[in-house]
Amino acid sequence: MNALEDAPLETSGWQRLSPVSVAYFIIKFAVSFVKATIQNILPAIAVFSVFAENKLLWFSIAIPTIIISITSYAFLYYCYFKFKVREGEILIHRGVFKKEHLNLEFGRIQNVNIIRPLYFAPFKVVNCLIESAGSKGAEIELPGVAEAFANDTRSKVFAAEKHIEIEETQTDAPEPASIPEKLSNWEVAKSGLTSYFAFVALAAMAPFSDRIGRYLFENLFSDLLDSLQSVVGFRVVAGMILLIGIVFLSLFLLISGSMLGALARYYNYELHDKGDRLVRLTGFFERKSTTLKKSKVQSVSISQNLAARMLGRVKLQYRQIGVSHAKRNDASVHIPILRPDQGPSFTSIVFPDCPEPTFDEISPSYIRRTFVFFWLIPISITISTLSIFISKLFLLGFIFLVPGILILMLRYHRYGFWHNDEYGAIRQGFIGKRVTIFPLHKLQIANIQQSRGQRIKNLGNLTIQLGSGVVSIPYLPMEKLSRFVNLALHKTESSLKPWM
Amino acid sequence: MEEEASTYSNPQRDTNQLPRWEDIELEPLAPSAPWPPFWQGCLSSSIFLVIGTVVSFSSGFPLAVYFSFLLIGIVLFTLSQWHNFAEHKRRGVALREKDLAFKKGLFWHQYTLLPFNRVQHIEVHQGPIERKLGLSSLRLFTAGGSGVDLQISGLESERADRIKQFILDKTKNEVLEE
Repeated sequence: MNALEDAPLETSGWQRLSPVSVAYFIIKFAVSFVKATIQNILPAIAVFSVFAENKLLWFSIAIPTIIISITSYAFLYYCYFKFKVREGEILIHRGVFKKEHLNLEFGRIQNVNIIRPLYFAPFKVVNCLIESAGSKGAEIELPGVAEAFANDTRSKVFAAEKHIEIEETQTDAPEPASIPEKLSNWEVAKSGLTSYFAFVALAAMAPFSDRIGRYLFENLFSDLLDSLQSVVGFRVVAGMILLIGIVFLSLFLLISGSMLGALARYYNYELHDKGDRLVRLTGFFERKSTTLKKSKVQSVSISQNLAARMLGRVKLQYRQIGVSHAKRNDASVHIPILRPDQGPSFTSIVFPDCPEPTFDEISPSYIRRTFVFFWLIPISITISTLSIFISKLFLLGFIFLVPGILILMLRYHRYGFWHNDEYGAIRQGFIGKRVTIFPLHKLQIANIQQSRGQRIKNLGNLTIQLGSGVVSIPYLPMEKLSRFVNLALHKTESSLKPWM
Repeated sequence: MEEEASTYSNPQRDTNQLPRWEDIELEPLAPSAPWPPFWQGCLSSSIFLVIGTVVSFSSGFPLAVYFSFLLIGIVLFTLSQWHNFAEHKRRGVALREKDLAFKKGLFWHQYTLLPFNRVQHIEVHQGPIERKLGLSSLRLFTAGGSGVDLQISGLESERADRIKQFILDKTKNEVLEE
């Protein structure tokens, strides 16, 4: 079935994917289509579903057209897709309408992930996901290649890196036999509760709630409503009870869906420390192996949203360069759920000499100045104008200053800054919080900003661009800020450690 | 172990003695640097003015409202161009041995410090107005950014090319050192 089964790694000719990859492309393009539809034309569909006549006719034309288009596109994509691996680089030709010719040098590759979807299993092929440093579009997928080929490519890429990275002499040492860090599936299911999927789904359904409710009451639950009415006596009360029941049932189903989704994704989670790299094994329907070189980790992010805070858990991400936002969660090595006290030990896996940060607060001027300039003055001007020209009732709007000061207080207490000679850390947040820990030598750009008022008070805002993204902290004393910037620049400019 | 001890050194550095970014002396940009944004502003304002005038007169808009909007437009344009020329005097760029510093901002002073060994890609860009005035913009890209990470507009073209070459030489040397 698979043309690559016996294909050696070094070939001069172009290679093609297994024909089974057509199925993969169909699923992929269909999912992309649905996502794009939900994001971009959902309001148009809502308007159409309300006003259009002859909906059945339109759907009977649209649905087969979409299916045929996606299938044809997937088949053509498969036909035009070819690749070859040669000394030090991978070449890809792909695209139907827009042709792409990609040359990806091994040195630029960040990760080679091997994914084993269930539907590839009978054909003994895998999906090989190659991520490179750079901006969007930097990922290459080779769905439907032999597992041996994918493993061979991964070995070649890591072998090539060993030549490039002169400092990593220790990688020649045999891999230490590590005991994997495992997450229990109960903990994994709990991580589903920390995602806001249920609330996002409810919000997405909000525009249709009226139609859904009417349909449910008129068709599905009319008998149940009658029975309830006979028990409680009033139809309105029966309707209210039924409505509350439906809301709770929907929430239960959505929360269960979140937990099942987390289980499908992180089932039997294992994190292996292989010396110079981390290997994550996870997944129920497809067992996914993600490898990450420790030296490529740009920062470690430990975050806790409201739900995670209520559960007393945090999420930890080993963040690297060049993985687009959409793929970041899937492709980066991260741990979906941990106890807060486990954060430092998991951080030390990649940053071994990094102590637990002890954060300093920012200047209290942050509260005063932000309150005056971003809350008090704009609200006062707006309310005064409205109360003079329209109604005195608008004066009640001054009550918004109370949540304003509370929000600022929360943000102020979340902000924290710490650094020693090798590492820096920034804490920020509002209801939840996020701590970003990074080695100083991985700084890309330092940005210092000062308003006139901050100059008088000798304060400044600091923004640091890392390979993994931007972190910033306002209202730091300039002395502390300058000491950090000078040290981070010195470390970045003098360090010969690999950073990418 | 003894041999390792004899070759390995890790001297402590006094962090107060490190080169200070605060001491960087910035050099001004080209004197004609504010003119490209000025002409671009004139062009876009003219387009708005023509469209606004045509729409107002064809739809019978009250003349008082038309002139009110025109007055607001003139005030906004004057303020933005005042800001453009005043801010130009505050802009500055400096090259050190291992990094580049850039300052901008009139009310909010913003300093950007970019180490050469983090530059992934450099572009020298020249629009039609800049070409006429002999100016160029330098665009620097680092890893992980989503686009241009630092743009320095209003450099003399020759100076922009020299800076580009200087940085390229430095990054090349960095690779050799490794």
